[in-house]
Amino acid sequence: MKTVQELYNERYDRIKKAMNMEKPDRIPIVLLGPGLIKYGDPNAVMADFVRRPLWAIDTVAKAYQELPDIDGGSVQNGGAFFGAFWLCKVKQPGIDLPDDAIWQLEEVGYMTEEDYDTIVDKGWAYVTNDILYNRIGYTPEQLAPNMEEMTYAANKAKEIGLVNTQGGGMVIPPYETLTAARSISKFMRDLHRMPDKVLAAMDVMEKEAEDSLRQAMKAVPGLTHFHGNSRAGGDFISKKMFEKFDWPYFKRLADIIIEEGEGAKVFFHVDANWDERLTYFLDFPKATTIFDPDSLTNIFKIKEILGDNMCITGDVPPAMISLGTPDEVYKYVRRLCEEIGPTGFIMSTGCSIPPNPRPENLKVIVDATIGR
Amino acid sequence: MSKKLVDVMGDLNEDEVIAEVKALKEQNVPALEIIADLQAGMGIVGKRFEEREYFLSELIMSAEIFNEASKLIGGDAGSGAASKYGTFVMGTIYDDIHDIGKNIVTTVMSSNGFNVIDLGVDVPTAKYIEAIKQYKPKVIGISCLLTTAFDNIKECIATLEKEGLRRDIKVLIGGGPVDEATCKYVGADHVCRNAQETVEYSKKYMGV
Ligand code: B12
Repeated sequence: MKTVQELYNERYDRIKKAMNMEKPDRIPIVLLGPGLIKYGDPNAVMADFVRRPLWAIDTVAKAYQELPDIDGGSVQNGGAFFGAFWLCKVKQPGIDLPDDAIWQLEEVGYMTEEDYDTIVDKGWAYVTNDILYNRIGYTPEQLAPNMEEMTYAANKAKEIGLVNTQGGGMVIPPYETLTAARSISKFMRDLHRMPDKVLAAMDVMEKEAEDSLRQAMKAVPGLTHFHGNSRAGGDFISKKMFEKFDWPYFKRLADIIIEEGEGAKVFFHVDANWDERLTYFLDFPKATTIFDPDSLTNIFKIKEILGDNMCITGDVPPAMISLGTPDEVYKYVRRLCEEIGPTGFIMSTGCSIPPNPRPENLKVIVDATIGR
Repeated sequence: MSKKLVDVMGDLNEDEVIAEVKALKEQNVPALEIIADLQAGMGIVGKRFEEREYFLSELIMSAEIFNEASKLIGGDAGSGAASKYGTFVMGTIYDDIHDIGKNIVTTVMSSNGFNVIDLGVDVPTAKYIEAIKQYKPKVIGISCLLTTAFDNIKECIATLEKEGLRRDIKVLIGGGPVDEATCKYVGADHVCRNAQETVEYSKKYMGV
């Protein structure tokens, strides 16, 4: 029998090889998301993450133990934290929503047009705090990280030998932050009406993001640091606007992870459809980045364009996990293994496991990857 | 018809649209005629969207300019004179409060000449039924961004069927995770990937 440490090392090596574009002994599997809790206990509901977070951590850990071929993931669920990240109010399951609903954001757009100037004058941190504490009305306690929960989760992951692939760095480009802060419709109008104001604010925001990224990478090193983008994709804005408002900032932040992340890869979490924006990602040196689509970018096209350059992870679609038959899931997973793998590929879902998976479909993802 | 208004609307030239609408109003051009020009401009926007010259950002901007211009002539884009096509009822299904996508679709539909009834988010089946009875739409839209709400759409459409309300209307669904398989599962007629597709589909179905 392997010790937990040996198991952990084996998993870690497998994931690391895939990220380095070398050939692992088999395709690594990294799965995470709120729906995993249902595999640990079919009666669990989303409100359990809020009402009894430690029990939820145990139950997610149980799911990983029952699916021991999963190499990496997370026993904790981000949940309400995204509210602050997205500068929104959050509705929680069991409090404002039914027990088994996923937490949801109210994207109101608390930031005003005048705030573009305030960002330049007083900084982005100033405006962020004003939005969070004065306009939305969060208290600092509400937004402070829950150390008890984090420590408990870290210990639990250690206990079961689960690899957490994410380091502490977590950024999104100013464009993405502003789509949330202003809300997307208002922001799209700003891009047309006051492009110079927007760019001036973005310059300030990017500098501040650089600083907090550096600190977070130092505080918690890891295999990867998260860098997300969704609403700059091909359905939202033209290439011309993309090159003006998003890509330069996005690239600079990625370069900082590559240059200063001590070997950690940039984990590009790229939601929505990026089919027509893929060639931009050829700018990065080989095996320094990872492409993580949410199932809306054509993963086979990603392979064709970026397959020699970076590791790809994905992308069983959430709708397929909830509604698909095990047979459909099996076929899709095999196709991924054969066409995207076996080198430079990590089996995963598109974005995350939805709150209502067909539990057998999770087992099928694992079995099909292993070739059972 | 003012070719200039049609063109500047199509080019999303906000200042010129406003100036031209004001000028036409001063010349006593009837509101309906001005609206018709604006809508012809929206037609250009739609075409450019399909040719991938315009994107979601331009669609949103076009609806914004259209609304502003119609306010100048006392019209509200979604109602009365402006809506030459049929009625479109739309909401986000219950247990889901995503409104961004829904709002874009309703705004773009109303600035393209549809009479839009927006039911809001977290919409229970009973509210759809009530709206269908009251407004007799030819097309309804259900938005959904969460896989957990798929069963709610299914229930809603099944109930419409039971109530005998399904026969004469087309049910469109849309939102991030919704795909063809979802469409079949919930018993809808068509998935729309974006607001412009909703306009095109509804125009076709309503015989415009
Ligand atoms: C930005 C985003 C977020 C933001 C929040 C945005 C918000 N205001 O809620 C953040 C990062 C915080 C986030 C968090 C989460 N998200 Co999210 N998110 C997205 C993302 C990338 C884009 C959504 C968006 O902004 N769309 C922009 C608008 C304009 O698009 P739209 O709403 O789809 O509408 C357009 C069309 O779809 C269409 N349309 C829409 N409705 C209708 C209706 C009709 C009738 C018609 C005709 C057309 C139509 O027209 C619109 C205009 O073109 C999507 C992926 C995607 N591609 O959709 C995932 C996605 C919605 N998220 C998802 C998930 C899972 C989550 C989380 C649960 C993650 C987690 N594990 O915690 C949380 C939940 C919290 C929440 N959503 O409130 C899943 C949902 C699927 C599922 N599993 O149920 C998606 C689909 C990603 C994925 N592939 O897994 N998310």
